[in-house]
Amino acid sequence: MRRQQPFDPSAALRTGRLRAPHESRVHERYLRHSKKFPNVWCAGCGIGIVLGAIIRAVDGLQLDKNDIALISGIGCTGRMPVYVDFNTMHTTHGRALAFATGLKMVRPEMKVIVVMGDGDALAIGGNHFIHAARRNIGLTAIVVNNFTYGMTGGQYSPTTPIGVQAATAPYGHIERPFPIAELAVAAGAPFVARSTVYHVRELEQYIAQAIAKEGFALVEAVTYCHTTLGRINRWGTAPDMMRRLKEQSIPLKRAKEMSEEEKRNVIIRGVFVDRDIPEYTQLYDQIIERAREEAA
Amino acid sequence: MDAATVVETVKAEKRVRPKQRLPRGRVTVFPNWCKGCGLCVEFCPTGVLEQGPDGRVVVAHPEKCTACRWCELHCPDFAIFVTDIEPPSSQGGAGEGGAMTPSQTAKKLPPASGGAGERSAMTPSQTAKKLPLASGGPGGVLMQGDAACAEGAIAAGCRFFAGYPITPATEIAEILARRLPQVGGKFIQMEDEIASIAAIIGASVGGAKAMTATSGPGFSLMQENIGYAVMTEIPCVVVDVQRLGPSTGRPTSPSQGDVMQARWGTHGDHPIIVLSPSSVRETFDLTVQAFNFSERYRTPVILLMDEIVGHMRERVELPAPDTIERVELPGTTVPPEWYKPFENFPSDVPPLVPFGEGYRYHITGLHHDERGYPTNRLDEVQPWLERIFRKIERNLSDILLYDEDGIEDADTLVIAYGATARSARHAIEMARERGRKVGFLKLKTIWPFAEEVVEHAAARLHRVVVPEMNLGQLVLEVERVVERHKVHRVTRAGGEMVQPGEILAAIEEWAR
Repeated sequence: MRRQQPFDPSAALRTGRLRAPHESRVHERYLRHSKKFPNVWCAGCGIGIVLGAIIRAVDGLQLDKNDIALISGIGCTGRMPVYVDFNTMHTTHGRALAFATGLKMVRPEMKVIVVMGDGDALAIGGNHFIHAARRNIGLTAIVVNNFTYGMTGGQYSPTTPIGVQAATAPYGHIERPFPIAELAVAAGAPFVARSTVYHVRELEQYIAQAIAKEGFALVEAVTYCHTTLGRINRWGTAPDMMRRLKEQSIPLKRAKEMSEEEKRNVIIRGVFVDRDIPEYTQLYDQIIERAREEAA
Repeated sequence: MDAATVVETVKAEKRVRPKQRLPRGRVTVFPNWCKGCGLCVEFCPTGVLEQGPDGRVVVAHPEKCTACRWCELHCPDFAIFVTDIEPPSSQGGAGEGGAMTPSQTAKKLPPASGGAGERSAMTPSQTAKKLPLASGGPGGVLMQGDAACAEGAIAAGCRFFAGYPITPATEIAEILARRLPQVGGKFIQMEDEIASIAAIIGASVGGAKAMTATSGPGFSLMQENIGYAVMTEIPCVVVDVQRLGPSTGRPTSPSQGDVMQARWGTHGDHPIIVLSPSSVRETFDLTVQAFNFSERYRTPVILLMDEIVGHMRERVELPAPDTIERVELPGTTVPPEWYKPFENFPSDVPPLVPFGEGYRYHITGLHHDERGYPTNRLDEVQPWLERIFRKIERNLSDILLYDEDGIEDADTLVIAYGATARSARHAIEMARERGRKVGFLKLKTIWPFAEEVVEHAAARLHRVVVPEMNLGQLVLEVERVVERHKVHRVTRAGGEMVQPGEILAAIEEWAR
């Protein structure tokens, strides 16, 4: 009954809905058979969940594996591309968007997905992040936000909340965090959404919308790090922190009725912006036309 | 579009779904992928799963499964999946899932053979259409070194440039911003030099010949990703028009202060090719050569210019485009599943297939095995490390470019490169007029250092004069291969050229 209609990806994007419930064992068709498993992440880490969401989004859109490039920077999230059977590239710390910009310029027909951690995208790569959004080049940026530097052991990152302890903030953190999605909106990105690894179907749907978007699209995937920041602050196990994501997050609609004070300690999920802005590589094609006319 | 609509539609779907008896799904766990994090056990709404004695998940109560798939969707390790148990009356459900698969694999097959790996993806029309000739025809054209570099790049097949404005290299970017789109290429001004080199590496992975140009401060920023290009063996050309440093230094003053940085700027042991031109025409030729080396040996190549050569104008006659040798990366003939982008044998330079052509593989800055996957094993790291040095060392006869003049009957040798070679040439002519026997060795390839050439040339001679626009960098290499007491340095690092008189004085002083 529920699978009678043939799946139409374009309709799915129009309605904002992917095929659901999807077929089983989707992941296996996209994981690399020549790569060693289990993956490198700690038991219970949310990064694997984000990877699953990316796989299902790609599958839902019925994209060709050859047309997808998955590019990452450094850190726990940087280890994501090696496991999936796309064109994958693990670049230097913070630079993934810049590498992806070059690739997208010469292969505009490819879907270039960039996965970054919060430190990767917003500290060392903050400059590339805002400029990729401003330039509106057709990349899909997925920032996996776990509020810390996990791989190096729980130092404070640009998204660490005020007051929590970190390996480099033993007396409590005093810097104000970056709201990633709001930052991307301000930098001019045409599509910005945020969800969590608990709300994985919503996350996968946002990722699908972001991939289908012509211009720069950002999805912030909120997760947790129970082995570093969680341990230092005694926030419990992976399931405990997963439950916090469930309890502390609210949809955007509800957040609009809340005061600034109330919003401070919650994770707001939803599509923050979805607007049409001319995409960079398409604009550049016009430049080529103009230059050729002038030369001729 | 928003989450609420999704919830509504899912609810609607649930209403039409026929009531079905439990279990509705069959749960499977891969025990060797499960890390025992407990997420699925904790959140399973009906308590199907439990953690076994070793912490790994076991399906304790399969009869309770509602096929909600929470566990499959949230397992970070892909260690669990749920298959539907369809009610006997259900229709059409089984076949639908399988129907998706063939269309995905069949949509785009990789090219049959030979074609993969050709780096002409961006400009299919280029092969048929002749490049517009840059020179003004017979008699040549008055041209700046930076312009010759830009034209050389286009002649070599460069179709992507990313850069950031910096004196004295900005002209290269300005010219290419105009010229590249005319030939179907692309130009982008990035947010900094780090992004610029990252973008050209990305473009090269996409199959375009790519270049960036900068000067000292920007060259310092690029070091990280030069190492990445070495590690991943992705061809690209980095132009450094040297200016007086350290730090901001003096932007419009010349220098040869980046010689050692070009060799050792990025961390870790690595080979590198560095070329240094001394005239406008040579800048054109060596830019073409830089692209050819980078493609032939799958390596980044640095073109080390200096402010004098970059801003100097000379009348040059550029070669006709069809006479220029253009090297393309060798393509592969193996099918995608056999392709190893970092294969150590039999070739020292394994073929590189651009992204998007059916050869899906992994590129990483970590030490990797032949497939490109990260590795900690010495027996996989060592052969790779040996190969990247071997591919340069075995081809020195191709890579080492230099000019010799009058070495046979000389007693003094002058070794110079870049703009300083112009002063040296002048000084040698003056010395010869005075009856001195002076030989000249002009190095165009400065890294790898032409040890054997220098050693051979200097063996018979009494003295070697090495002028440089720095406080002694390449001379350290000369001193390493020639007896030290023979070597005389003529150094200058104040932002001015080494004068012919200074070099002449050094030749004369020793002759006395």
